[in-house]
Amino acid sequence: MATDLLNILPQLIVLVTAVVVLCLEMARRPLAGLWFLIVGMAATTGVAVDMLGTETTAFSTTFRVDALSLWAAVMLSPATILFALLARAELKGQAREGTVYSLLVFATLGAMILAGSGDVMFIVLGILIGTLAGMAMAAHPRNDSSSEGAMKYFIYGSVAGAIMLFGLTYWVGLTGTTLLSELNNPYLSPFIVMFGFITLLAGIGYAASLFPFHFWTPDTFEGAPVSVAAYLSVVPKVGALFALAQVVRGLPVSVVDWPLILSVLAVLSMTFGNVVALWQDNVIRLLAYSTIAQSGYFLLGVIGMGQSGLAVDSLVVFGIAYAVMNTGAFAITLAEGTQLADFKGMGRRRPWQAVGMTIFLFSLVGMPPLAGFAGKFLLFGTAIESGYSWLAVIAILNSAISLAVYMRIVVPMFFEEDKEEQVEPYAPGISFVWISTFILTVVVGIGVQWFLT
Amino acid sequence: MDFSSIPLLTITTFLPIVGALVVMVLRPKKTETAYGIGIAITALTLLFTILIWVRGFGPGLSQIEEFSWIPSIGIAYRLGIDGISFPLVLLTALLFLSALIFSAKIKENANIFIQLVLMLETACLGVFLSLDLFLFYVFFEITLVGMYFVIAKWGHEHRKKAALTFFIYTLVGSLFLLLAFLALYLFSDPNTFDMRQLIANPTLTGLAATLTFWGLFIAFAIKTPLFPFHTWLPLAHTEAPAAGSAILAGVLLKLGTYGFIRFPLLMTPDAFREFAPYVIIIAVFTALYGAFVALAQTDIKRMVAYTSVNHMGYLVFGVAIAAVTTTSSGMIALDGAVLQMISHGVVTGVLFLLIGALQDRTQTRDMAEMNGLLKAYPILGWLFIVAAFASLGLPGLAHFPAEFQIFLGGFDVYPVAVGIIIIGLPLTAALYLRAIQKVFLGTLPEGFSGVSDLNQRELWAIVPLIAVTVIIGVYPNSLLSLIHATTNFFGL
Amino acid sequence: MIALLLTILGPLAASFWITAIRRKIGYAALTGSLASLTGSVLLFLYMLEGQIITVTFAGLPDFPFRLEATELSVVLALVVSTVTTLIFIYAIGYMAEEKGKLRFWSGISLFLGAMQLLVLAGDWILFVMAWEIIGFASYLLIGTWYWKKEASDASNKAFIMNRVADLGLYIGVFVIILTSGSSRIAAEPLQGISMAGALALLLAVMGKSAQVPFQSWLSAAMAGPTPVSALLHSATMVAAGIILLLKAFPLFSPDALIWVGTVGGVTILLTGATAIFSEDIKRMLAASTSSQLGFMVLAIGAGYPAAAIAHLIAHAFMKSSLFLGAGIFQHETGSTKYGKLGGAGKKLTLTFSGFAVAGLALAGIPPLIGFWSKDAILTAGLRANPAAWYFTAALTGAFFTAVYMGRAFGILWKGKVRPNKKSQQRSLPWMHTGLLTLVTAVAAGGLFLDPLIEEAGFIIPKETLAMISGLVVAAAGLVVGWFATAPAYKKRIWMFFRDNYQLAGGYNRVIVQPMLVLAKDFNSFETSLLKAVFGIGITFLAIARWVSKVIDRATAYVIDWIGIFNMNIARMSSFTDDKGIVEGIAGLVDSVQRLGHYGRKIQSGLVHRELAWSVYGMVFAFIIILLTYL
Repeated sequence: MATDLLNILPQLIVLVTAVVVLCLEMARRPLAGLWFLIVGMAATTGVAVDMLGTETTAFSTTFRVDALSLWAAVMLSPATILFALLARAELKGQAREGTVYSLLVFATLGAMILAGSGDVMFIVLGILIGTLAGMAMAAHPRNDSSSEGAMKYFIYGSVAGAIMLFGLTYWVGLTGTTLLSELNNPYLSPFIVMFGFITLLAGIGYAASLFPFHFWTPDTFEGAPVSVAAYLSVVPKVGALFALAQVVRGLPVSVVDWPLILSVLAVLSMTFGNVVALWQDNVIRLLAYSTIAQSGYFLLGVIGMGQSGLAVDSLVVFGIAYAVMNTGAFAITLAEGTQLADFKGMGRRRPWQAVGMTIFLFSLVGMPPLAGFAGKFLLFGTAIESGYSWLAVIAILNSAISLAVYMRIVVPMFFEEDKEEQVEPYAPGISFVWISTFILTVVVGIGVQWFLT
Repeated sequence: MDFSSIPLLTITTFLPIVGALVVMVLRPKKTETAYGIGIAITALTLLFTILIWVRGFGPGLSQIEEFSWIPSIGIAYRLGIDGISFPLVLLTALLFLSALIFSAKIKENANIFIQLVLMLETACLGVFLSLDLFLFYVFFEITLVGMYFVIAKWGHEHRKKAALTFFIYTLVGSLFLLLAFLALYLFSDPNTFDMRQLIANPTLTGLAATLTFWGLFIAFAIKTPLFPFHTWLPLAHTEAPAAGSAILAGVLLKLGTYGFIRFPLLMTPDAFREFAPYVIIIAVFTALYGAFVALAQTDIKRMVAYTSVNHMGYLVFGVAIAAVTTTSSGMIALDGAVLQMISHGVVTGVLFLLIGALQDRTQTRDMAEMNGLLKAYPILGWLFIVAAFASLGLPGLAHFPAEFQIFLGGFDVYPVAVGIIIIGLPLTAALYLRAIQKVFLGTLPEGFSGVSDLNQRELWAIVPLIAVTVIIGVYPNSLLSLIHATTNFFGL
Repeated sequence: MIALLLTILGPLAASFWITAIRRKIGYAALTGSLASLTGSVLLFLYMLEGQIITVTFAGLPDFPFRLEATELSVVLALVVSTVTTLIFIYAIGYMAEEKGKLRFWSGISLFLGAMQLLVLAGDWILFVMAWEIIGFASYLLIGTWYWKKEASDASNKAFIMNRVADLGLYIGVFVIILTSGSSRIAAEPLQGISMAGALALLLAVMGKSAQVPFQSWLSAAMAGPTPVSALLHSATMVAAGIILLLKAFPLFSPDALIWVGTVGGVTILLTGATAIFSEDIKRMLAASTSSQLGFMVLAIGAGYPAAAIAHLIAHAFMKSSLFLGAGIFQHETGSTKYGKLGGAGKKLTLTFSGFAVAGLALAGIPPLIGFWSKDAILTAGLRANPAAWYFTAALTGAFFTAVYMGRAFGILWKGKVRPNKKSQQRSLPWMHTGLLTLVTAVAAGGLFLDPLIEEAGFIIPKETLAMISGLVVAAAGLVVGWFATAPAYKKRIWMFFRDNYQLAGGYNRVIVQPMLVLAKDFNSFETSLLKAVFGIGITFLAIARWVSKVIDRATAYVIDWIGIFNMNIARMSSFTDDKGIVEGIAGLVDSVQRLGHYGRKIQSGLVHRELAWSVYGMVFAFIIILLTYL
């Protein structure tokens, strides 16, 4: 037991942090809450980093302590800090500012549980926590659009969750246990496993906003505070996809050809996301669709699970890269405004931030030597190694499309003039976020070695 | 001090970007100072490339500089040089120097322009020097970004459209390159991105080799470009600023052709041999196609752009010949192809700079609107005539030895193909003569009030390149000795 | 060594000086040519001592460049530099009254240097280089007066036509190099070349030496200054073709030679006729050049390069003198049309006599130089096989020659003298010096021709029959010509002769137009290709837009649909036997129903309580799970 608790120490710290922050909120001490969040998350990161490399399970193999879960902790906890800072910058002084902090942590907890789940129950639990917390955050501004967004998020969440549970019950019935590891058995009835797997996809796909479970994404993002949208675009997604990786890792291809299913989803998500993003004039919506596309790329890594030595690495690196660059992009959007028009003449107005935004976007496209490139490089490698070259080809064509998408932000920044307005500096939180993510985007790209297991 | 221990290649490669940083930090108020820095840096880079030459290198890849980078997947920072890459490095250093000198007239956002150009130079040098697929790709992509901004910010009328087309189109190409590289990596044994290993023992076979080859082919065919992947070129070349076009045609196209030699020819030789006939057909068609389309242009800059297509056709033809046969003819053709890269770089660079100078004076590129300018701008006119004749392959100037070798080598293997492709020679002659006649010969329009002839700055940019053209023309061995040693070494 | 380089580099240095320094240009050029002359004389002396000088230096890998002063090339070099120097002397006078000196002198010096390079080239690649540079120089020279449309047209025509023919040279040289494995020009090659290679070379010769059907560029080239014409038509440019044949002769197989002979013969006849009917003295001379070169080609075809060399040398002197004379007449009357030239000869008797001597020589009147060379060719024709063809062609050609020369004399002499106001030729002395020296060479050259050719390592063939017949036709022809002095013959057929047999509109219509049309087609294809590419992009964007629209709408529907489906699911799932879950689901369904019910009027405060509840629930559940594992 003790060892188990030690093994899930990061998750425990997060839980404690969450509760404490919530209490602090009840004491109406948001700033204290923020500080505690920072401390707690930093601690989590430290612990997780220290634990990196351990390959074990907790609670009789229901929770996996491995590269995925640990790296999830390592990348998500600091990310949470950044999002908290953004939220601070955006919601400072509003009522219930502190709740957002606690909810952030709760949702992160959910994601971290997902990332390490070795048992369907953990998947369900993680998704539920994430959904509820996220929904509440999305609804925070209490206006129509946010409420609508939150409602959509919630409805989809509950539906997907319900479907998933419905399907999973069959798995449980089939194997007599909720352990994922038990699925690794070539004699299971394919039909049921397939059914279970697909319903599972509904749940996870929703959290990761994979096509066709993504419908909530744009509206929710648009309605929610930008910082929350940023958060939703990163943390639950990473958690869910890692969970998916955990599931398929032990799933025999002989029983259900999950790589095929996933590759189809990947193609749809990537193509759909990029294609639709092409016509968005609202940067948040544009980024929302781009996250759909990005989760499509993630699937390339998931497909490699158990077939390619690069799979885990690719997931981890791309996860980190994605968290970093997406956060950066959202941070600058938060400061500049959510319409494409707001970016006109930014190159002249704020050269540095413009360059930063460009770097983030190019990183999203996958331009070397930036983080996004390192991630996609490994993802494509995984796909080819696991015999899905055609998928890689489609992926690169999508990268080309995505370039067109992101250039729609870059072009107005540098090549469209705007009447000179007085330039007020960014809020310190935002500056900190975009600069740190900017540095990371470059560092991760060049120092990939540090993130390989 | 020990001369051989200095990492000359690394210094050469990153010197320009350092210069860019300097400009970024100093933010010089006067453009003169900014350009001063930029030109000084590029000149220094040129000096260092010459030092590399002085230090000397063997026929094989030598002067290796290697540092561990991502060991767990066999990626490392590897630089090296040989007789194929060195001339290109030299060309790059020279051409960027000229381009920067020439564009010293650009006043708007001069600082950023200089930084971009310097970044571009580092990227180009990196591509030619890197011996690691990953590193190569990194540099390869950065060139796109740099060029995109140069075109989109300082180009002519339709610059945005041109730039975006260039960016997306070539990005597709380079992404195919990425896949091919991954294939090379995954099928190599032990897995590595080290180009030396991949060249030493090409392990790819069967379908994998075929797919990889075509991946590489598409990537480089877009970059080079070959028909039908050339459609980005006319727009980009025409809309880019003069220096931009010079760099684009002079150096960036060479990324593709250099790639053809370095990757398909050396890493998937069997597949290339198998498919060489198709490549040759494409190359021949490209050459003639470019010539004919150029013949029909009225925009002089566009015309020169299309002649690039023609010349690239010859070049790839030479490479394909080298792929088909391992006899000495193949080597002759390859020598020619490599030299052709340099010749085309220098000559076309000059042409674009001259046209830029011309456009600054006449405010038009339409040949129908110009006449008798030789009287108004004798120096410009004569330099243009010399460059044009160099481009149409006049002996004693840069293109002749290259093309002669390509055709000579090719004639041994595919006499008919040579018989067809060689028709391009009179065609280019015709189109250049028509251009010269329309623009420079004839009588000046009445009341023509032109700006003065080429000024000091422009001469400093252009004359050295002309000189190089002549040197290569009369003493080709200066470079060919290096090139030949290497082609010999690789046993091509 | 020094001599060799002096011969070639002298003029080149002069050309460089002229373009760079731009002072004393005429004299600089003259010095250059004199340097070349001394160089070639020295070479000649060395040769008499029997030493052959060769220089080899790095060229292409495996194919070094080499210069070689063989007997033949030395003799030719000597002739070239002599003729050129004299023309230069003349030109100093001529150009004094013309524009474009700079281009003229730099171009013409470059020209001389390239020609010497060609003559002395010891390997085929260097030969090709010289060959092409000559073409370039001629392009510059013909276009000396570039502001004139006809001049620039003519220069383009000359260069492009040559370029087309040069493909033959390229192919031929490829064949030679690949068959022999070396690029060296060997006097006795090991094996000959294939028919294809030989014909390719022949094509090059036809282009350079203005043989049918490539003769038209030569008459167009008249747009240049007279000295240029003199040079092009005598020892340089056109001679290059013959030199190529001479150097390649050992490689030719007999059946290839037949073709050579045919081309030569046809050219002799057709261009001879053209010369007869032309209405312009320079054009007449141009056509005659083609015809005379035809003689040389014929001789080589017949297997007697010696005769060709002899005629090459003779013709160099004769034709240059004729041109220089014509130039003086031109300056006198301000035109080259026969119509205007009438009687000009009476006025400038000195010039006329010089012109006459050269003309008679060309017609083949002994003891002038032309007689001997033409005799040699006729002999070659006699001995050749089939003699019928070779000899008849040569003889008729000789007759034609006599006719058009006679006609020129007649017109120049008989027409009534027009008083010409602007007739002050300051620089006549220079011009006369050049002219008369050449003429002396023409007059006396006959004596030195034999030994010279022997020095070059050949023997001139001789036959009495040839001499007699040649003399007869010459006399006859001169008489005929002397009386046929109408300035123009307007009949259709004669004009057809005159205008170089412009079948179907000639070069312009047959070659240029189709090429341009083809180019247009390619270009329209290209533009449509570009359109297509952008079209793809645009359609793609359209699709993208459509998709995004549809999706937005669809989403709305899907929401409602899901709301309902949701509840059913919830009911179903309540049958499942998993307690803890049912709790959660129930809570969820509950909230969903309420949310769905309140729609947008939802209060986020409500959500808040909801959430607080759930959160506690979660935490509780989580702790439970933890405990169960204790």
